[in-house]
Amino acid sequence: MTASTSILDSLQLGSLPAPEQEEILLALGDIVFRGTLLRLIKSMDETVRTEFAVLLADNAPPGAIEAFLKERVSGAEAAAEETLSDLASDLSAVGV
Amino acid sequence: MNAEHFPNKAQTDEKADLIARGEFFWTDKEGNIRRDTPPTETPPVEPTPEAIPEPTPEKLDWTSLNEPDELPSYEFPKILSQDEREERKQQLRDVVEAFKSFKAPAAPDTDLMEILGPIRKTPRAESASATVPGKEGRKADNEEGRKAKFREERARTFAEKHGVRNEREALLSIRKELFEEKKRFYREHSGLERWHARGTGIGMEKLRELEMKHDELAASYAKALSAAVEKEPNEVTKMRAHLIHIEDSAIAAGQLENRARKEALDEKGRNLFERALGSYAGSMKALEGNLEQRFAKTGMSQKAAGIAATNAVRALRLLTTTSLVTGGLFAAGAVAPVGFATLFGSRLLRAGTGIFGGAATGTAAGVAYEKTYGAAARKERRLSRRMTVTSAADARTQRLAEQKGGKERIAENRKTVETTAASITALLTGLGWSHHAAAEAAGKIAPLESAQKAAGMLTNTPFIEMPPGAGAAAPASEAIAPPAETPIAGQFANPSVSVSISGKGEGAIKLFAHLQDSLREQGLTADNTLPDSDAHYILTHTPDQASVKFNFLTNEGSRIMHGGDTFTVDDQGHFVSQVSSEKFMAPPEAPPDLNAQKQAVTAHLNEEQLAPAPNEAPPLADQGYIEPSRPIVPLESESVSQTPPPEEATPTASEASYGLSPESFTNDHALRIDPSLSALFADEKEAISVFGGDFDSRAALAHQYITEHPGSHVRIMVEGDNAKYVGDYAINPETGTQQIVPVDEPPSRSGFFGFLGDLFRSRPKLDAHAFVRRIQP
Repeated sequence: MTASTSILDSLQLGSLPAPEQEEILLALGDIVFRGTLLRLIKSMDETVRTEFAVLLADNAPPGAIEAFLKERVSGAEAAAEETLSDLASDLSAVGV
Repeated sequence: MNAEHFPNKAQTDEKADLIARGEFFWTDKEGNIRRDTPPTETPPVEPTPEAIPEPTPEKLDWTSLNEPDELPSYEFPKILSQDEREERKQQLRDVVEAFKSFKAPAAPDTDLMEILGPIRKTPRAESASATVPGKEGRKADNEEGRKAKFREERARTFAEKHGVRNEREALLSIRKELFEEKKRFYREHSGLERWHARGTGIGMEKLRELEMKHDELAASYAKALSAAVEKEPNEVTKMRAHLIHIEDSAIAAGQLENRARKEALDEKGRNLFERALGSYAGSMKALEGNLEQRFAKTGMSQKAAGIAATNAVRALRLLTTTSLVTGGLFAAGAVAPVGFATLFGSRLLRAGTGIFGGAATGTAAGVAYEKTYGAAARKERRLSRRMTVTSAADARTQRLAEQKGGKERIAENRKTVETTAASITALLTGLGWSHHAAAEAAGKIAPLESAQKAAGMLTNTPFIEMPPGAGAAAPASEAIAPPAETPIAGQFANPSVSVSISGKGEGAIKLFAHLQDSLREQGLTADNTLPDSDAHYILTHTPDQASVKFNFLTNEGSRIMHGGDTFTVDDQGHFVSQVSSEKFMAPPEAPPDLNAQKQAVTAHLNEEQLAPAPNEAPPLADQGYIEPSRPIVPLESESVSQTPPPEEATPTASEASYGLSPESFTNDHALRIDPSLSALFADEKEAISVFGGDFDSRAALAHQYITEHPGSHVRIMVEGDNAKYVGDYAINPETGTQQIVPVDEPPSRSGFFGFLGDLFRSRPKLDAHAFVRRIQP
């Protein structure tokens, strides 16, 4: 059993058609991605925001963006952790 | 961190100014700011810095998740009984265990874009490079909104049908309030204050209260939903209720949180967010375009390469989503590398590096494909050539079988399977899995449809379900699952949907309306069903049109329906009916032209066939059911096809009226042709065709001609909804049924290479401009 199947099983969605299972997984990933990004941007001061915008405009390689965030945005790791924590909380709160 | 990736101050200021003014620019290799159109060639990508630490093996630091009650954020709604709370705790532990079982991948050391950079870009990749990140971000946001709207519509319909509308609306109502409070909270408090509030609860009392209330209402909604479907015999309906609950509660809550955070940002922050989203979307498009180019170079057709690339990227997103969620949630020590690398595409792109090294592993799958599916497709084609074609649907089936069983299609599918099966294995290898483990796991990604498709895609190509190790050397008999039609990417493969007549007064049209509703309730729409499927037709046409299409409303009238008669759309989108009567009831006031047609077509049917049986239901018109009064021209009339219409009833072209209709025209050979009336024609090769009028009148004319001219052939066109098909009209000597026999036509044999003509036989076309004279039957 792969991680994805066990996650789906634990969410009790194992019997759903595959496309809907995929949509759930992608929706979860999307929430984490957006949530982390929003938290990161909120944490940036004006200078860092500008530099980040320039990196994006320059199509900087993903590794560079990642390194930039880790170096210039304080609490970046906590942002990801908090997003994931919120997601787990939402899942448990509704009885999943 | 490689310092060269940080912009210098002067550049930053200039670019910031351009960004603020919303003006387009790009930076060339020398770092100069350019405002012209960027070249299509991708500038060499900077080597990825080695700053990304290797993820440490995951360790469940957040042990208290195993005891959810100990965390403030895991306060269970009070509405739940003790047993239910215990059950939820156990479910949560299961989730934790599932997440823990996932191995955080190690980061490979090459960036895919480094390899792909110099490759000539495809139009898709070019369009990606020309996109403006902010605009792409807004598109991504809109896409999320579209999906949310779809989920909302599906949930609302489901709730209404199952009587839990009030519970759901109560939840939505509190959610609005919660959204406003969250927005206020995030706007008015700094990060530190929020952190403090989260720990102590001070400053977020109202938010906490609303959150608790939200959770209580969500629990009530879940209970009501569960109770409403408890007696449903269909397990899928119960499962769907659970899915809707998750979407309506957990996912909606996560999206609400994100929307509130976005709204709380200032305008510049929101623009930056959209740019970041757009940057990610652009990198995915570029990756897809480059993969497509790579795949095409392996000999696949451009279409196959495009599908393979789309599905490979989707599969990759799913795999990395799993990595992100699981690795990030429960490997606290590895949150940053797993999370960031995945968030910004680094891990995703790196994972793709193995794609081009895995070709050998795909070969076995390709061989297996050809020996199993390829052989099956060839056999299907042989059988289809002997089948009796009595309708446009049969003709379509036959045509598809011809295509699927062709050498070129089999070879192309084999190539696709080889490439993509290898890709899946390699993607996993790229994510840090050992080759052996990856090959084994590639066959276990069964629930991920995209992953399946990445091992056997293309429309009309069956899924390939590979057992562990199939990518390397699994026996063909084990490597391939039984054939099944494959929906194209992004489309739903749904359980079958059935509706039955439950009360007096219901006819085929009402039942089609009911079926349409049920399909929509299952989340099916015109956008996510195959365009040529019956499900798509039913969703995109009115119930009376569906009745005509499926022969429940024909020139003979409407089919008589009884209680318990059932319409089904199966899991492949095919319409199937179980109707106890094959009899028709004529409409009470058919217009003259309909009556004339009806008489012509049904004259051959004996009276016993037309008379209602003693136990038949009263005419539908008597039940308050009104038939449309327009003439009806069925495309596929089974009853007509069973017995060819007699010659005297044939509505052939009368010389007096032929050529007078407005659509009449004179062809290239000065021959007058009237598309509204059936007539026989010969072309330069003396091939006889019947042209004009509806199918029934053409069939009658063809039948008359071949009866009077034994051994002759008449070409006839069958018009489906989306395609036309030309074949020879024939009568099966054993069954007496009419059939359309596929026929190939050699090209002209004139010219030096004329003797090669047989190698290039093709399907004939029925071109009215090729006719040189009319033939009298």
